[in-house]
Amino acid sequence: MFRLIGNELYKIFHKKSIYIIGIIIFLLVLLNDVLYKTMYDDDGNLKALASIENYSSAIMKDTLNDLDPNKATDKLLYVEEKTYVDMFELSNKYGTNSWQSYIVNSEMYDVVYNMNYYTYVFTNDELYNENKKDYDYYINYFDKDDFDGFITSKLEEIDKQIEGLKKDKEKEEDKKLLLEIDESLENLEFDRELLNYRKEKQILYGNNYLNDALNEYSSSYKYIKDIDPDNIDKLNYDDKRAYYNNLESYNINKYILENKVNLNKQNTVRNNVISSVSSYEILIVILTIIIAGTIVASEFNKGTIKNLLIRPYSRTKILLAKFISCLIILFSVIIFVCLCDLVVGGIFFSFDSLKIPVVVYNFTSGEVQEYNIFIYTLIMIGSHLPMFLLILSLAFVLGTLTINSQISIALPIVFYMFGEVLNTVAISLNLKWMKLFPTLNWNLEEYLFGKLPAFQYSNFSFAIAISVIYILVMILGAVILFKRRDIKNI
Amino acid sequence: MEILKVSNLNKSFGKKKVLENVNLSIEEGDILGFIGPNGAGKTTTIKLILGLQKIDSGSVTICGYDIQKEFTKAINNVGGIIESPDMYLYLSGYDNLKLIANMYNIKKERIDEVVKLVGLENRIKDKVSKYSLGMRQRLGIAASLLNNPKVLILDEPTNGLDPEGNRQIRDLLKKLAKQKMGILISSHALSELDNVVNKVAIIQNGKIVEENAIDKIKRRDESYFIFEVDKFISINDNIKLSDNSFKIKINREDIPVFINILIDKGIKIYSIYEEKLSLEDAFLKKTGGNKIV
Repeated sequence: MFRLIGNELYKIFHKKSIYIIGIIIFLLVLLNDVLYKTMYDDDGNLKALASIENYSSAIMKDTLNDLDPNKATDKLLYVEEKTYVDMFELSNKYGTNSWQSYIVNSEMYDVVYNMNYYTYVFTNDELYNENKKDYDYYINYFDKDDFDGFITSKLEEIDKQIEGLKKDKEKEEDKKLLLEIDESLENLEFDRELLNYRKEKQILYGNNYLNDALNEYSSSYKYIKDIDPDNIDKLNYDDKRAYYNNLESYNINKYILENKVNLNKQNTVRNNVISSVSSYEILIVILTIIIAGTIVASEFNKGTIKNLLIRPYSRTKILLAKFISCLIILFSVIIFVCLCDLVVGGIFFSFDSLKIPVVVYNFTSGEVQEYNIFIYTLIMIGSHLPMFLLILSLAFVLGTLTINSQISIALPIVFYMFGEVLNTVAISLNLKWMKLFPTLNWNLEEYLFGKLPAFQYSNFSFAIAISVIYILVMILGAVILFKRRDIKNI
Repeated sequence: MEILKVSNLNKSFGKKKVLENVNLSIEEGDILGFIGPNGAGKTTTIKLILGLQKIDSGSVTICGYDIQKEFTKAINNVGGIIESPDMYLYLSGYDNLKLIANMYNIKKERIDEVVKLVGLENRIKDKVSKYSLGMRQRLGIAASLLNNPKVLILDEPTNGLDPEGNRQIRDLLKKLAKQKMGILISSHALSELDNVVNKVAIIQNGKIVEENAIDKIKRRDESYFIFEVDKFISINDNIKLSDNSFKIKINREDIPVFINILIDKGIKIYSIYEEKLSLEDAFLKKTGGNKIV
């Protein structure tokens, strides 16, 4: 048996085509990394955004020059354009990625607009000064780069508002209004909590992963705090999934904020490696199909099958040796793809990011779990295995059945492509009986860590059972057919 | 000892009966010529013998093992080429042999041995795709000899060989038969097998029409004897070949009497020899001039 497997591998690895495909995979990995390298900066932000901003500011200045603030028809437009230009210049003063710049863009539009409005459209010193005061309030903190002071003053503001509302609450008797006050209070308290968090963790405003995490953290927190965990099972499935997603997002982002580690950074070797199998899934699938679909069929087409069957081995052994060889090829391809991704990614982005663990929220235990990159990659490979094995078996069986390489390559590829469509249909129409279909069960990623899968009628062990049954039936069918087959004249 | 025994073999493809009660037997040292026109069932018979197709009824026994019941033991004693010597074209001749040797756990020395036997030493490292048909044929024979089989089955082995190669292969087969190998050679051309085989089985439309030792087929009728003499005279039923020779159909035991008659007539005899009947002639006689090719 081992000799047969050795022979099969010898035959496969002496084909030029397999090396050509290997080189293609390597080049694709390389190209992918080059793209990431050129698209993102070192902090993991898209480079294109900055250049778009510069470009549009140039256009705005041109427009502004064309407008005349003394002309009645131009006035409003002039104020609008001037506000944009002022804000752009202000935010540039502190640097595009500074916390000040972020506050300028998110909070100061009204102030700047009003100052311009009361200057050019409706000249009113009192109103202008009122806005100028607000403006100076910001600038005061900005110029001193006093983030703590800024946050503290914001907190004081919120405290004042809360106190005011609480007083209102005592006087108010209308139940409807009371409810509204309660809601406002709750929101304000949440804002205060966030600000405190910001202050405590020193999360400066800006376009970085910490702010992204904070945003997602706060939005997912808002979602889950309204739902009583004891009543989860009473929700309909879509709401339950949404709850689960938010719960996951809440916990993961909390982890990011507390450990100040960018888990989602795109241009890292770490990110490449953990997603290797998903990114290059189609390449692995196609290569596997080509090998598995032709390993039997080509022997028939070339007539060499006779040389194989007149040796002292049963047909079952010969076929199983071929199947096992396909499995070995599948694993080699997966390892090859991951290694390419690791080595090329490491050279491009440095290997440092490999130390950062993968963080997963486990719904069963309700805890955040840290995984070593390589262990997590293995888990990802494992979760894709049912799909790879099913496609491999399908190609193998078709090759044995039809002894036609074209059919045994084309059909599994179509099936693979069609699988996604089928799954979408089954999920959107909520077809329960489709749980017996392999495509809904072949990606175990959906069922890991106690997640709620998109398709609600299957689960981890059921998915494995269905996949195993399909694979076994296909292999058994192939063996029976192969044993009974007459070797016709070629 | 009978090392290949085929008895009452039947095979149909759908409604079409391809083989009907085919019987063959080979003993150690036999070279059986398995002859028949294209489509007569030669290759099908060989495939049934080698277990490549299911037997409808009948049995095949190789060295005492039934091919249907004890496939691996039976097939272990066989080497062969079926239809054509198909090899992996993208591999070298040597690699092809290595793959087969690996299945029997045969050592490298044996590979070199068979390569030498078929005279492919110089080209064995070349890819098979660069081989001529004759070279592929030699490689196929080398491959079928690797496991030192007791029974060698060759389907049209001389296809594509030049006369010199043909002669070499014939010599090789004779040598192998002397080492007690039993050989079955199929061919559609009788003339190719002349001088090599010691037994013949002729198949037509799936039936064996003749199975016999070759000298029996040839000696079914008395042979002609050719006389070289100083001058031709008409005597009995002799046929004039030239001024100095004639041939006559006569029983072997009657030759001394006939010689005496010639001497009495004052004719000088320089030589007498038997005109050997070729396999083809013998067959033509058997089928009444109905050529099978």
